Amino acid sequence: MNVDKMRALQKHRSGTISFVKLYEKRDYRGKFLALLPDSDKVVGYGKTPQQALKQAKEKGCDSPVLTRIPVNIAASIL
Amino acid sequence: MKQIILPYLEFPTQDPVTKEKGVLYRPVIRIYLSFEKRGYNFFALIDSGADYCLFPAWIATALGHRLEKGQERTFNGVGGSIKAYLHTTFIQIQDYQFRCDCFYSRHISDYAYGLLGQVGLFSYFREIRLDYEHKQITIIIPATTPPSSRN
Repeated sequence: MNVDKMRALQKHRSGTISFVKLYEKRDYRGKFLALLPDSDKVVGYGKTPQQALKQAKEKGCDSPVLTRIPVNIAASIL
Repeated sequence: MKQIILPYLEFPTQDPVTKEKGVLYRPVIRIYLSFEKRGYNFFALIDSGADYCLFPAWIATALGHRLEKGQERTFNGVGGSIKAYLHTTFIQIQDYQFRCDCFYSRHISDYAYGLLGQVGLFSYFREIRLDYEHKQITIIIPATTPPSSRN
């Protein structure tokens, strides 16, 4: 089984959500995002959490997940 | 025995020097934080190495906490020391809500999520299993812990 198939199978089993595509989008770097819960679907974004929330509400999502796409995406040891 | 099973989330990384790209799995979960009349969903990393729960300052602002009005405290980490401010906040994970002394810091303002540490998450749920092989988090609910809604 190749690596991609193994990864797909693993994701299917665990329900893992990938944020790789979101983080790679340059427009989102340093911005606040409102995401549909349990998905990587963006329902709003902006320079402030309020802007992201407003867009989400306009799209009918009242309880999005608020996050920020970091400028620096290096691995971290806290 | 009740338990909450949640998946790890997948994040990209890039070495700031070599620019080499990679992918990491982290035990990051969705939580609901609330203070007075405001409450929102955020992400948080289950961090057994953190003594307390720590969140970026932008989350304090979103919740309506006046950051620097909180009690100031300094924490040490591998990268040095950071200043943070204490604000009591309600944390909810699925049906389980608890009051927590959370700290908020500008030093981690670039973070996408907060950290759930020993005092708060682990003291409330007592047993949390991180299964990296299966990318699965299991939170064991103590029999004495009643579910509570966010209202």
